[in-house]
Amino acid sequence: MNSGWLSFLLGFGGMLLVGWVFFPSLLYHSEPQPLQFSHAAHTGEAVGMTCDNCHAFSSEVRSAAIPQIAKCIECHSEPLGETEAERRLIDEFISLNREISWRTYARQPDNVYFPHIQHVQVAEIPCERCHGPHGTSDSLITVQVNRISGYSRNIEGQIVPGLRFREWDRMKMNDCSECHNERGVRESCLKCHK
Amino acid sequence: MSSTLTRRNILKLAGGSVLGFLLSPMPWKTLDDVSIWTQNWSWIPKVPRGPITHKFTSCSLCPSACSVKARMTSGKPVSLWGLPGTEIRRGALCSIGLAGHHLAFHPTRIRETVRVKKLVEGVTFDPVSPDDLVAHLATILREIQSHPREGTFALLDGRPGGMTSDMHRLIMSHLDASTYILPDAYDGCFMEALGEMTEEPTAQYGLNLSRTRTILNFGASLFEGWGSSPQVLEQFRSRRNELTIIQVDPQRSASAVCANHWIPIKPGSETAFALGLANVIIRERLHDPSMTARAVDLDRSKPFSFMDLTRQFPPSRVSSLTEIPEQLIVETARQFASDKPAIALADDFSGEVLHRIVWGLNALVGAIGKEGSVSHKHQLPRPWKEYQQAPVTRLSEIPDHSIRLLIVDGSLTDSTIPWSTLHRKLRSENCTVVHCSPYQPQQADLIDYIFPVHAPYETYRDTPTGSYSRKTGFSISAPLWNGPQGTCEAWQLLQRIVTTAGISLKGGLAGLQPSNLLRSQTDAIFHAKRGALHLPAVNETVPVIEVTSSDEFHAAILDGAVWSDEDVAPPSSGKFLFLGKSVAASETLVRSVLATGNLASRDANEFPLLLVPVDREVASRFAQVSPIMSKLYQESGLKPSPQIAHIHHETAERFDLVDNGKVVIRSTHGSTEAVLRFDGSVRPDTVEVSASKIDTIRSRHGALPQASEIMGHAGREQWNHLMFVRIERA
Amino acid sequence: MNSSEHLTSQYVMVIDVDRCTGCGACMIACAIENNVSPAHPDATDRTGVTWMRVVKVDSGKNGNGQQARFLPLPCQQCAAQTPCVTVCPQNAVEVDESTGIVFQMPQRCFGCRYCMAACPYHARYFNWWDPEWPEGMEQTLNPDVAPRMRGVVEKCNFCHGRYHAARAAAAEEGHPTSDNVRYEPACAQACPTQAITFGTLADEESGVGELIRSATAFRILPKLGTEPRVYYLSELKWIRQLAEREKELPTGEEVHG
Repeated sequence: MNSGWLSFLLGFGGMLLVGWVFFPSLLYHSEPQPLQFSHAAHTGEAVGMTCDNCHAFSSEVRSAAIPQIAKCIECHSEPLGETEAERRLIDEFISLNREISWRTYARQPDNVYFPHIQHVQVAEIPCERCHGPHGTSDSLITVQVNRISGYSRNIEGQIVPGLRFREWDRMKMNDCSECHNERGVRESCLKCHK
Repeated sequence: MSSTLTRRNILKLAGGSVLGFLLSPMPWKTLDDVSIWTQNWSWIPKVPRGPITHKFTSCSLCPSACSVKARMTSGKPVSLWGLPGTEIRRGALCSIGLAGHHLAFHPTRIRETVRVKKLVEGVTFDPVSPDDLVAHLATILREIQSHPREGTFALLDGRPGGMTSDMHRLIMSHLDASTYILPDAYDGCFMEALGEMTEEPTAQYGLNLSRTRTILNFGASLFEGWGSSPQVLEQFRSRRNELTIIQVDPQRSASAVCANHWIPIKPGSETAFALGLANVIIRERLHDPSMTARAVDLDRSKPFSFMDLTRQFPPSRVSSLTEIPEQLIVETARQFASDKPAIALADDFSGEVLHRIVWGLNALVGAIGKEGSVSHKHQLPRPWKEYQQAPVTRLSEIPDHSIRLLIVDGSLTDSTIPWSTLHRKLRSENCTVVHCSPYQPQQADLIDYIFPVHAPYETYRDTPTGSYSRKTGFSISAPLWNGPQGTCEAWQLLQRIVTTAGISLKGGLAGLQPSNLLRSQTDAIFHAKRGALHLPAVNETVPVIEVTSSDEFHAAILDGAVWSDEDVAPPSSGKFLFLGKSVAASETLVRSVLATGNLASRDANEFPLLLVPVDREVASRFAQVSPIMSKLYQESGLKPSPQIAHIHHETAERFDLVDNGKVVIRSTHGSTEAVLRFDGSVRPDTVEVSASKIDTIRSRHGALPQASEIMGHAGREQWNHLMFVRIERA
Repeated sequence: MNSSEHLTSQYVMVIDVDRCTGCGACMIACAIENNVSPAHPDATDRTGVTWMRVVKVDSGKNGNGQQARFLPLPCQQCAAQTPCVTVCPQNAVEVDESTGIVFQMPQRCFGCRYCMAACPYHARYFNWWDPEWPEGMEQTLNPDVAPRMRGVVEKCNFCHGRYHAARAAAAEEGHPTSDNVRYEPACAQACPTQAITFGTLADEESGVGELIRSATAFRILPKLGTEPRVYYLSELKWIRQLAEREKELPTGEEVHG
């Protein structure tokens, strides 16, 4: 083969490799959750909880509705199983009444107004539509935060060029718009921006 | 195959890399992310997140003690809003009160005990250990106790009337050679002046403006934006068409703008004007006929009766003293005496003489009687009545150069501390001054140590209803922030010094904490078994007798409940003394009145213009205001900026001054730079300069010009004296 | 006063000038509610940011006959030919059809300030500097409003943060989601003499419908055809004349601020 083509292909392939494989891992900074938590263990058949058993949405909360330690205490004041995660939960948090500083996956910019109430209670959109199968996951994945822009991969797009194959792959403005258009919700800037 | 490293191959490698680069997400994503990064600078704060809750409290910045609903995010206050609540707490927060939650973070905040070092270029604050300071002060106190001739211990209370003041007096009653001092003027002293002129059994007086038809105002803050009686605002809102407000003011203040009539008197001539009105009222027999029986000194006392004094001020003389037309003086007097109920008010800081004359006017028109605008109030039930309290001494009664150790309690209001008068009372050497305040004080060069106390909303503070309220009331200002470690209240400093000095305190005072102090106050009110408790959380009012226990009462108060007393019927009659109860005070009054109109001599050529300090309310009442007040002072022209002096264009022309020009204003005390602006409402031959201490408004030109620089050392006490200046182009 | 161009669901603000005491509580409440920072040291009345601004106006007479009043000036929320919307090259401002609010999005703005030139009411403010709060005071920011950076224009949006919160609360309580939910902007809530009234024409309890039809109602510069949503009330003819500028006023009149 012509060595020129080889060089070309080497450069081409090498850069593609760097751009598609190494770049994302460099670009994103991984933040592990302070404690492991298995959604499946809680929502599975054994326990049978649903999303709203722990995640409460209220118009008086400006946050991601992640439950506070009081919610965990309701069941876990005594050990219920034998996992390492539960032991840590009780020793490091419940016994000290210390809040767990969970990392948020889907923190939108400050200028975005997103009320869970209108979407969950009024429009009755299932949680999976935006958050994916998070509720049946065995463990909590790390939160990957973009080092430059500061937003998480859940928002920007799991697939680096921002492609969206599943509905929950990306949470940018166009994705919200798409669903609003489908449902005939009248749009205006005032509705969603602070 | 030969893989020779030729230049061509390198170029092809590069070319392939570029193509691969462009077909990878790298450049596009990076550009995208960088553009987002440029819109999210790290120093732009992110908004807080978390549950929104509400907390009920009261504002402690001025005696109106408005009820507050604080909006909290994750337990931190985000905004404060007024609560209508009870009739005595209208609860519409003023602009200073709305930003009260900012005060814990004011740039001039002091969080640790410091020693003030005076250098040529200014002062510096060096941290010292509070324990060392307490030990040092305890040593001085012990020396004072054993050698009282070498100087006394004194404590000046900046805002009397609360639990802190009581604690100061209780502790000081155990000390020798010590005086508890009140400044000659403080919040509420105008209403309290009435107590010196009546012989009624009533403990206290307030205002009831619900049917008032005429308000004659000698400079009290009606509409200055803060420090106003909530009743006045309520009457203005609801009964504007039935109410006539006459503003007697050298300056067209906001109160003058909102009033029905503005009387632009010559600065310093208020007393003459008031006496002129009294003259007309008596001469035309418009006064309340019952006064002739109730007041011996109206027409009969010797050597002077009140009538004798007013005879010295016929409208013709008053007109030349005040520069107001005679006809207007007569009309004002007739309006005031006939459109009743009528009330005359005076600014707390305008001096005792004017207060007496104004109360005299009120007595003449029946404001103090049954149909009048003055209400009668019980005293607030206090838990330590049986304990001895140190007597109150007024600052003017303290001999010069007599104080060896001075503690100034400026925790609520630093601005009213009369520093230059205090300075005279200190020994010229070997004296120590300790200032208790959350902020850097105005006159740091007079102070040796600053002891940090809590800022507003950092601790439980009692907020008894102020002197203007119709009924007595009580609530507390609940904290919204956690204060810095080690701060405490000013009385606790005193407690520590006294116990460290080995002086024993009776009745458990040595170990008293703010929490049990507050509890004993709420218990005292609960056991008085009268009045009603308003619960803001549910917007309900409960009579106190229906509250089941003192625990419940105390818990409700800590949650922001407001207690208001029952109505007190005015007594059917009572003696009134126009010249006052005390002989000494009435002699002072007579002397001052007879001397009115004799201006201090001054060189009219050197200092031809009269200085009028404006926007006095802020400097009168508040230790500090939020930096957000720049909206009113710096980013708009709503409030007079400290950098700007105002003058009438005709006056300016005579002195060859231009609009928006830089000038220097000089007096015998000093000089200051300012920008001059023309304003058609300014009196001829006067210049208006801001008195407010808004030091968060930083000037492009350097040091902030303030009235105090021209009026002398911390001129707040000087404002009632006439000051003459000259202006030159800078 | 032709109010037919306002839909009944759209918001209207009525300010009683005779009740305004010039205290500035509305200005401070607005700044606190909308996360406007204290002034930069170099800021002046030209370069500061005051979404609500109270100015003092004079009647032009001199001496004792001179009268003055205070005039609170928020964004007038023009309903017709909204000048700032017309000129913005970025579509960073939009008239929301259902509420009538002229909504400014600083996130889209790139700071050309064309809108500031176009606005006849001087109601738009440019961030010449990054906002800065004294240390610790940034904890008091309102979570309902996004802070802005330097280089963008901002203005009153009739407290959109409160509008959002009111809609969310209505949804939570199960009321049908309507666009004209009742809420009160910070300025109206703070005013100690209740000089500011706010509501929709459809909401009879707010009383704005009656107020805008009263004989003492007027708007500022009506001849421009901007049909502002902010109405004023005053018994004084000289104020109405000043605002309407239909004819020349006697010289010597002054507007401060």
